[in-house]
Amino acid sequence: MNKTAASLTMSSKSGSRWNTSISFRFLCIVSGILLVSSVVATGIICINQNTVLERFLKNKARDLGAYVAKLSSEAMLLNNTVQLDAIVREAIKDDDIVYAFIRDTKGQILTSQFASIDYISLQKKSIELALPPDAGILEIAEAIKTREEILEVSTPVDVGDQRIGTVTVGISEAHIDAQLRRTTLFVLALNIAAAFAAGAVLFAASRKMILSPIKELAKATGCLARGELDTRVQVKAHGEVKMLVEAFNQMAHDLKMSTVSKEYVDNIIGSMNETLIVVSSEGSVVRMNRAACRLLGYGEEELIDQPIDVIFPEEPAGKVSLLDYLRTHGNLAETEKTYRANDGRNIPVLFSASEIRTGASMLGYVCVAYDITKRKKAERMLLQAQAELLTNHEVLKSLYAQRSAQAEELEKAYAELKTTQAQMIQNEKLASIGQLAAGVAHEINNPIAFINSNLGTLGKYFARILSYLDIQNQAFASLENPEIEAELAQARKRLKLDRILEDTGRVVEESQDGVERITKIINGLKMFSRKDEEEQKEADINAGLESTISVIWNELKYKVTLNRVTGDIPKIKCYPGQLNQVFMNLLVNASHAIEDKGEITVATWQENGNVVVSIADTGSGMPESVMKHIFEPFFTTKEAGKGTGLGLSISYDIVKKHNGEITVESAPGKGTTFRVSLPVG
Amino acid sequence: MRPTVQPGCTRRGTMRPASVKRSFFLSFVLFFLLCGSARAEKRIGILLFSDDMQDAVTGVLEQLRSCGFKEPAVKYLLENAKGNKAKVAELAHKFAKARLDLIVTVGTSATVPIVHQFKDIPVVFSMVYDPVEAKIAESWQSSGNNSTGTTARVSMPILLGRLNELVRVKRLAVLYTPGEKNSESQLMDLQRMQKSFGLKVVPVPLTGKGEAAFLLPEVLRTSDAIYLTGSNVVNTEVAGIVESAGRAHKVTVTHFQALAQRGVLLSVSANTRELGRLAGEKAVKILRGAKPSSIPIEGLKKYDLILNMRTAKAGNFLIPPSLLGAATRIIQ
Repeated sequence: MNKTAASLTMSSKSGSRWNTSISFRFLCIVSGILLVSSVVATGIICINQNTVLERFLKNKARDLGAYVAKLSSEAMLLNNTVQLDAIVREAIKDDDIVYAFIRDTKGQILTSQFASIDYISLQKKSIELALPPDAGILEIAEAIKTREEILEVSTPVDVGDQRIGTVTVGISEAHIDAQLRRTTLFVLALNIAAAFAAGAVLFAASRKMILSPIKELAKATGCLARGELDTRVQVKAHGEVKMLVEAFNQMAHDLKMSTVSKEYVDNIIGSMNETLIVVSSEGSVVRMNRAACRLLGYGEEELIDQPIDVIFPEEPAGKVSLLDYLRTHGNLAETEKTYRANDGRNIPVLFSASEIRTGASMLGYVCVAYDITKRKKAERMLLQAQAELLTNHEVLKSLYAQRSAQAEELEKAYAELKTTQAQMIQNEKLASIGQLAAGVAHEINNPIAFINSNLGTLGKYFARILSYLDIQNQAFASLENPEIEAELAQARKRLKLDRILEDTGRVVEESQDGVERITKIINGLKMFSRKDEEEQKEADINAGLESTISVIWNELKYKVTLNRVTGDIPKIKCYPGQLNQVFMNLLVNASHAIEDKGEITVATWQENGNVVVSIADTGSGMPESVMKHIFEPFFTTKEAGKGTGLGLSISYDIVKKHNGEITVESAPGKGTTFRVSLPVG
Repeated sequence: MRPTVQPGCTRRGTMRPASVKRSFFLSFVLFFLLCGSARAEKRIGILLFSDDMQDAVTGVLEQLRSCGFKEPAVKYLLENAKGNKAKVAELAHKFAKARLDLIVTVGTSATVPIVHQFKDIPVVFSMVYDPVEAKIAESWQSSGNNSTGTTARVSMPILLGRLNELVRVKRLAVLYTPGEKNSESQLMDLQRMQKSFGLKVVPVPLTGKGEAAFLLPEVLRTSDAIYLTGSNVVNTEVAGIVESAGRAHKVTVTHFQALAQRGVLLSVSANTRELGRLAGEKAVKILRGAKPSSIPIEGLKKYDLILNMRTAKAGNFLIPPSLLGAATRIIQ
């Protein structure tokens, strides 16, 4: 409102300011001087022009009169009025001539009215003379003179030395008046236009060079006076004006460096986001900024002179009031307090207050507060969230433990499942091989049986052939025929019959031995690969060991010396096939541990109610690091593709399945000993 | 003219060489005679100044033809200057090339340059108001040169008498054109009469088209009647003059018959056609061998009194019965 009023005042003043401005005065003075000059110049020109025109007109009238006089002398002598009329009629055709007439020496007019008077021009000028019809030319001429400025010139008509008449020419000055008016107007217009043009140019030049910089300076001075200390004059100026502008700018700069304006301070206070309340030393509000009004919901002037306690909730009895605290301590820094708004809301604020002093006198206190409602709310929410977080953390922790255990179990189960799957696959493979072997053994068993039978028969028959040959030899010897004997001896020698006979018996024996061994292998195979029954059965461990050895004997025989130290052990309840698989694994591993030649010692004995089977080799042995992993599934020291890493793992499981125990002792270069302990019951 | 044939030229049945020569000679003579008869055709140039005077030409031709000067024996070269003096000079040049036997001119403006230019060809003029004043004749009895003719001049006392019968005139404005002799002569005739008739002649010179409109208000205010000379300028302005005069209830009078036809209230004038016939008579005389200077210049003895009743009605003029009775022609 005040601002509007101020602007109105300014606008109302602007007119008078323009009237009193240098620009206006300068413009008026320049225009006035130029106008007066132009008017004076026009006047001089016109006076001069008037003189010239009058002289010209006089000359013209005189010349025309002389001409008419010269023309009319003869006609006058002849008294030829018609010709005189014709002459003056021609003369008045001139635009300036209003009348022309000729008189004789007696003064009698010789020319006629309509030849002498230029009625055409009178009509054109709308001049009505209104004379009597019989008015003479002189009367008409006089009447015309009363209507307009006439310059009358009389010229004598001479013939030789004798004067015979006079020519009178009336020449109108209306034309020169009109001409003068036109000239005056034209010159005046030209001068005024030139004056205005010159005035405009002068004004523009002075405005640009002097007035505009001064105006800018005045404007800038006003701004400076209002406290706008950044105001500078940015105009192009020259000479003294330039010096003035530079001096002003320097002055403004110096002023800014040395002054902080009230408006600047007000602007700062007004622009603050923090609330600012100035309290008098008595405790009444002196001033508050917009942020404070906004926060507390009061008008700018509403709290002025009100006690500061209005904006604070009521303190409990006995508590030191803010004002007392400040009077005692002087300052209060960043303390959480609560404001009470106009609508009764409590607003938490971060409150600071300090004294305002000028020298020794205390003027009051300046209180600055920052609304921390959001912060408080955020703090509360944070605490709440923290508590929830802790609870959730505990819950999650327990859940994590559960899940970890479950995961471990799952991992374990998965590993077991994986092992079991592999073992099952291996077992299935072995079982398949065993079944195949059992099938093969079964199929081979019959031909082997009749081969064995036939070999026995063949042995018998060969014994009989030998007996016959003995008898025959004896018969031929009995004949004592040297030739026959020689021939027979030669044939016998050529056919190597003695050697054949000697070898045949051995061949049969060896064949029978082979068949016996095949039978044994087949039986071993059948025994080794017999399908495990659903339930355990009592079995002889030594027999199982033998059958196993027989199965793998082909692998062992070339580099292993097998020592058997079989004790007297009872039959145990077990899955014989599975145990045979354990023994085969241990024997094959022992064989593989022996690089070139070595020994494997298989021993059985009974110990603490358990049957113990020991398989020791003289192979390369293994370090501790290997040893502790050997029962893990898929662990192998063999080349890729040669070992599955499942043999000992399966063996371990089988032994565990029999509630037994498998142990190993080994040292690099000293061989390895596996011991399988199986309960008898 | 028919050639005459010698009857003796076919008397003998056969022609001898001498007769052949004679026949050839006769044929030669006959050829020249024929040529002579062809050259014997009269060539007459007639120059009319303006259409207003056409009746005069008609009268001349009527008279010539009635006296045997008919085409094709006579060849008429008719030209009309249409009121243009410059054209008169041009037509005079044309006549000079035409080897004319006689020139007939109608109107002063046509006559003056022709008489001055052609000194060896007889000139018969008509409708010339005052040939002596126009300096084309030494006197009315004898021109003193190769010209003669008729005049349209009327008796100004008669004219003024008739005018006074119609209205009592104290100031008579005379519209004339300086430089036109015909027009100036009428003014001077009237000026000579003014004392006798107790009136004042007020000359009103009209030198160009459009002037009349400016002068007439004052002329009509200061005059009782207006006399219209037959000048070119007056002729072109006659309608406006008559109308303005009628509105001002002022009488218009002229000696020129054509102007009466065009609205002038009162005309005392020579009959244009009769003037032409009279000029034709003089032309016949010249063609038959008379010298122009021996033939006096004359006008008609009787004049026409013409009243334009249209103008009279328009101007609300009361025409006296005596005047009406004396009128030879009334234009309704």
